[in-house]
Amino acid sequence: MDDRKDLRLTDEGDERLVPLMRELYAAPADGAYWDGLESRVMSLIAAHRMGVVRLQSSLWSVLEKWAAPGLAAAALLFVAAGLFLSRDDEAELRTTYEEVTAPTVVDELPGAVHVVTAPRDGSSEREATFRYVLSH
Amino acid sequence: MTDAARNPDERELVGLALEGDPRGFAGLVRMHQRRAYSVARAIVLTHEDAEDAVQEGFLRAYQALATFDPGKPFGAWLNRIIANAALDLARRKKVRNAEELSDAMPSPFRDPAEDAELRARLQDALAKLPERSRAVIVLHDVEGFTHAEIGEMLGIPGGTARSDLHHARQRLRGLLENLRG
Repeated sequence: MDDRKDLRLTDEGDERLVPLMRELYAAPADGAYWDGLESRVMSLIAAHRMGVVRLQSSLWSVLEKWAAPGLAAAALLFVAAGLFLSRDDEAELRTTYEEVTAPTVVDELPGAVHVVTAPRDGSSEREATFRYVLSH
Repeated sequence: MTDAARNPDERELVGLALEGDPRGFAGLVRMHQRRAYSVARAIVLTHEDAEDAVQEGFLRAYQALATFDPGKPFGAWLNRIIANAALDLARRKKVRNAEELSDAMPSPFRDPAEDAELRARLQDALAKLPERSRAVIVLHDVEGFTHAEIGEMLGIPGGTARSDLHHARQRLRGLLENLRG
């Protein structure tokens, strides 16, 4: 078990641990491996120059870059849709209101006096309409 | 002494690469790939991921070559790009690699060889460290980079790299204690 106690890192390093880490992280020693890696890198670059290949990570980074603007655009779209629907409702309400308050042809009897009640100070259009309806 | 001064051909290779001659960049790859691998390997968890990070890093370097200042050392510039590629890859594959490693690693109690046991426990502890902590330990203790060089690679001040190293060692020590228990 003493050996296990040796498996510690000190600020000065560790005589037993560092060689183990060097072993774990050792680069391949075979020269052919490096020739192969160089070929793969150059093939990748050649393919990139011809526009044949993009690295998977490039796609991820593109998606990551688009994520924030995409969310912002979606939020704007949501707000715009909300405003549009809200205005649509308002327009519909106003149309209904005008249909109710507008004088009909039947009301326009010959000789009838068309009374228009102007809103007084502080009175709303709705109150004016109410008064108009009562006066008929 | 700069890389360019140490490697008299490097400047020429950079010049060729900037002119679009593939032999220039191929020469730079040949010259720097071992160091690039060590930098990537210090950050990611597996040899295969280090290979991917090296390839991606070289491609990024190629794409950004026009922004490289030929008066500065190419190796330091490249190492930073490689480190960034490795950090990106490590973040993407963090969970998957942790699962693969824990499945692939032999249990300390199943392996009678003491070195294998210690290696497995160390590998387990290193895999549990955050990328930056693992990177500063390996880059410093295994690869022999200075705090300033590590800081430059990881985009942090040299002093931060030094304090990161101290904290990373403390954390690794704690993990090894836990594993020992």
